[in-house]
Amino acid sequence: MITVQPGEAVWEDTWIPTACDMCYNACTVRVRRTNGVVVKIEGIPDAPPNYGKVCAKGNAGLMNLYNPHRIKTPLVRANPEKGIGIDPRWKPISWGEALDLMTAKLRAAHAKDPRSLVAATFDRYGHFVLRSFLTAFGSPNLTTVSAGFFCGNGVHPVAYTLTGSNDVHPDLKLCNYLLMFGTSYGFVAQMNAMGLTQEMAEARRRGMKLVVVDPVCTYAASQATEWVPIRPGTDAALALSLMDVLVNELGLYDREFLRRYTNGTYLLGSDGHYLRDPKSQKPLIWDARQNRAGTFDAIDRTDAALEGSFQLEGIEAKPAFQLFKEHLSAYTPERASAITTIPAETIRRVAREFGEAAGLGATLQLEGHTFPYRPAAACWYRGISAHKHGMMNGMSVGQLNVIVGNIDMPGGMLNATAAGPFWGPREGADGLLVSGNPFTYRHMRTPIPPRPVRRPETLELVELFPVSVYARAMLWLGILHAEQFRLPYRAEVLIQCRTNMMAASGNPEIMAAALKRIPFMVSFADHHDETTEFADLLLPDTHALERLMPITYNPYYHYNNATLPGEAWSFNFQQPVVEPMGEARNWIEVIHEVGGRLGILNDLYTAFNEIAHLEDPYRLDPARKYTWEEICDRWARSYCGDEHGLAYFRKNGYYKGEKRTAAQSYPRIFNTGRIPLYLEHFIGAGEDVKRFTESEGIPWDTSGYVPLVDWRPCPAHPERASEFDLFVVNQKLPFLTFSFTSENPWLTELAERNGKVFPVGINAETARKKGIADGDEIDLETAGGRKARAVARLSQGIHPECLAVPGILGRWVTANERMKHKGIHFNSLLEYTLDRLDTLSAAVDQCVKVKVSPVHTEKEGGSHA
Amino acid sequence: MRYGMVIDLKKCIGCTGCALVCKTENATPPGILWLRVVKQESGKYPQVRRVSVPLQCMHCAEPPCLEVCPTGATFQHPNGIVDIDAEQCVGCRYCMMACPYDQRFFLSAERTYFPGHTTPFEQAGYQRHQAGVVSKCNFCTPRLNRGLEPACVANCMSRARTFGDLDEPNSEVSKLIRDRGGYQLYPELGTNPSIYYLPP
Repeated sequence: MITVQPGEAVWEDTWIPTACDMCYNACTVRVRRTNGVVVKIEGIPDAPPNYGKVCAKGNAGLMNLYNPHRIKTPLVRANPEKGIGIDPRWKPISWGEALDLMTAKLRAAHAKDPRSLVAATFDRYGHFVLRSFLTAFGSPNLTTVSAGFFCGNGVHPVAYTLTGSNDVHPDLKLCNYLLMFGTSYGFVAQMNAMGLTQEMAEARRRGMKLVVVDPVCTYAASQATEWVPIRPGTDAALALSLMDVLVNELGLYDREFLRRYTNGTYLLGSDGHYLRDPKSQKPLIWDARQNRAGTFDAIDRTDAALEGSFQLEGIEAKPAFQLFKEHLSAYTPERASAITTIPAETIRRVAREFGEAAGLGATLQLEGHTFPYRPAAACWYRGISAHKHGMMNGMSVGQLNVIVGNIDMPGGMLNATAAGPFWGPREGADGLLVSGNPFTYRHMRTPIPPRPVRRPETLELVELFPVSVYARAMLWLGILHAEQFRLPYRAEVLIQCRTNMMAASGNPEIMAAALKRIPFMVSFADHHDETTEFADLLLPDTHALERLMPITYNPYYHYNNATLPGEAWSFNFQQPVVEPMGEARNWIEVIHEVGGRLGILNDLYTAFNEIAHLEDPYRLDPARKYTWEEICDRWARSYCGDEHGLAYFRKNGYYKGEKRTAAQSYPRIFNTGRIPLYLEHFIGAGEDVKRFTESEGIPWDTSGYVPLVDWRPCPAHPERASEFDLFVVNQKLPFLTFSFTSENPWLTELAERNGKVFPVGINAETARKKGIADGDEIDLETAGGRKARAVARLSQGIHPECLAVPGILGRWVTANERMKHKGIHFNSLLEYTLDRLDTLSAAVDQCVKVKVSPVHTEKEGGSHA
Repeated sequence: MRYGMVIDLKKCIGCTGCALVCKTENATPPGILWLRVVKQESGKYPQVRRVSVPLQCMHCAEPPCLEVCPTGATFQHPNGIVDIDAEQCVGCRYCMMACPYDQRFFLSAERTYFPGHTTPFEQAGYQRHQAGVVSKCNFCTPRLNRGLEPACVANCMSRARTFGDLDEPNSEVSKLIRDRGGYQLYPELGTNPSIYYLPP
């Protein structure tokens, strides 16, 4: 390793552009290398998406690079026994031996059943190749992340429904009133963390009102105009009540938008289905001008009836919005108040503020087009998605936006990736909006039209989730319950990289049981963690500053690389800044080598052309063999033009293309496909699931497949009267997200100095009633008997029914002694069983209640009892 | 000419990016943070306010640390920056007692972030720090000499920090202090800090 000696002359001082990898946002950075040593990481002022700014994690990245505890050679397990806390007894082996072993295991698995190979990664750039490898191998079992248990389950299907894109985000450039439900969007968390933090700061400076609905006064809520504390898991009741006030009390809703752009005008029969034209089978709407029914595509949208009741050949027919409106009346602010603990007058006030801020009727001229101008938006994420009814929760907030007509309109909620220079949403069956994004292939499935239910072939059982985008949380349950779901094969080999599933996904006990079922597990990693503890073969991966990885920032594909209105479509690259430590190798290059050893490179290339969406003449020729550099070069030129290949990116680090036009940013008025405000397609999807699961004898909850969204309690809610009286809730920390960041001693130091990271927050009044003082040790216990011990931190900024457990802490396998067993590992308190999953979105319910008692005995060691 | 900084508490989100960029820019050793962010909570549930307040050397016009320094190690540049000449510092730490803002740090012994191991970054960076002396924020004087703003200002993602000349009435800092009611910490002590905060 190169080291700088005191007084050594400076023989090198250079800046190398690349992309950060300390979270999943791929900020563009430049790295200063002096005499061979990385001495600084910083942003590039002109470079999207972060425009010169780097967060604490990104700044600290070089301490992960230089971590002496990194894995430096291939290691093989000597201890056949596996489990939490069981030493694998690693033995170093050569790369040659390691790849011989891996190849042999893969060959054996392939001979049994190609589908028995499972792969998991959160390397968002590497997964294009990994997916190609799996496709060539013949397995559908790729899970791209260890997240997808909690985060986007109740977001992505809703985003597709509203915009045809896999995510939605508020238009911070023009929004004047933003309601945030269970997210720290724009506060160094979530998508485009750096870019949106800057946008959020600017929006707040120019006077945008920010109202944060959250059980905890988070970093976002601290800076909000108003913090609205809410009982966990009740957000849908609030959203439905806000809509009730807007529609039934104030009449503040965008009739024009609903008529033009939703299925609110489609006529329904008494069975809840669309009334259809007998001949064409097209849904009917009521022409209010001519007083007759006609097919949805034959009547001017502005003439369509949105409300009322009509007679259609003796049948009573109501427009879908009429039913929607009647349905809302069950959610009066008084009822919602009892559910959410938010005062009814606050609900009424926020509804009015939101509706008035939307400025119904206003328009805006941009680039020669006249757009409805709707500068009010409601966004949401994990906090409301990770519940038993995550799909309904997300949908309710999504629909709040539809009611004020802000979808894909200036100031409102915008598509993240749908409309660009290459593709946009289309009009599909029944005139509904359908995604046109080709990158959805096998990664995020689209919910419209619902996919036919069939016998599960994937271990994640996604075949049973016709309106979800994925079912990642099911993977481990599919492995554990393969017999029950009659899966025709068993998992034989797991390839895993850059994802600490044991710490970041389901309850570790259940995760461990699933991992132990897989006979052979290969991990690529640069440090030991809770997941690599289960590996049979552990291969040293490069740090991001040691590897070549193309198109890390990819606005066509990655929803969190959304290109903001008026900004340039841009791309960036990771390139090596220093030599790999020890024998570390870029895992994606190793995957290619293994593909060569297995003789499947030609199929890998064929799959890669489709998966990475390469265009001629840059598509790979399956008859040839390419170096990784050549593949990166073709990939870059296919996306960014012939001039902008590998050499361009090595020199510049990023490429800025055309600016996103107003029409691309705000495509709603150009799309003919309609938003299904009334989820008629859910009825058939639910019947389909019910038919299959009943015939197979699989107990399965299909009661959520209803066309009108409701608030439904989580299993934890009825526990209210018992001694298990406090919900634990998890919040993001801006300097510690992703478990690997806690390997970093600089970030550890920030966490230690912060004082609010490792203790558990409790409302001061609740604590007083329980006889708990600030700094007291407390024991937590769930109804399921899961326990943890922590130090109490009293605060006014926490809902009285909650305990605030931040970050991904309580680490049990880490080389960083200062983080080991510090704080509480939130997921260890959760149940991870089929009955705690949302059968619509596959979200894992994070609603769990605990009883809390002060510790009276002497301290007994670690944080986990 | 008097360099100063304005920190807008309405914009600051408490992300601690500044604390970390300070660490990389200045390669400060373990346990020493020339810049940190404290959170203040006020009010009663649910009308609660939590404010993040970044703290670093205030570069006082009347620095109490300078008065007590027996060797002259602490001195003031003509541009107002309060600095320490490590060669003259004997480590008596009177200045640490005198600083009302608790923004001076004593490096008792050479330590590294990974016990028993010195990373290449630390080998290169710790040449700037020696054990037995006091150190603190110097407004990134080496960056100023290269025509750059202090690292914490350049990297602030919510653009809460503004740097400039307090003596120049039309500078951005002077205007912000005037227009937004900028205030100093502990003004009653007469230290006249060069860091001003804008109310949350």
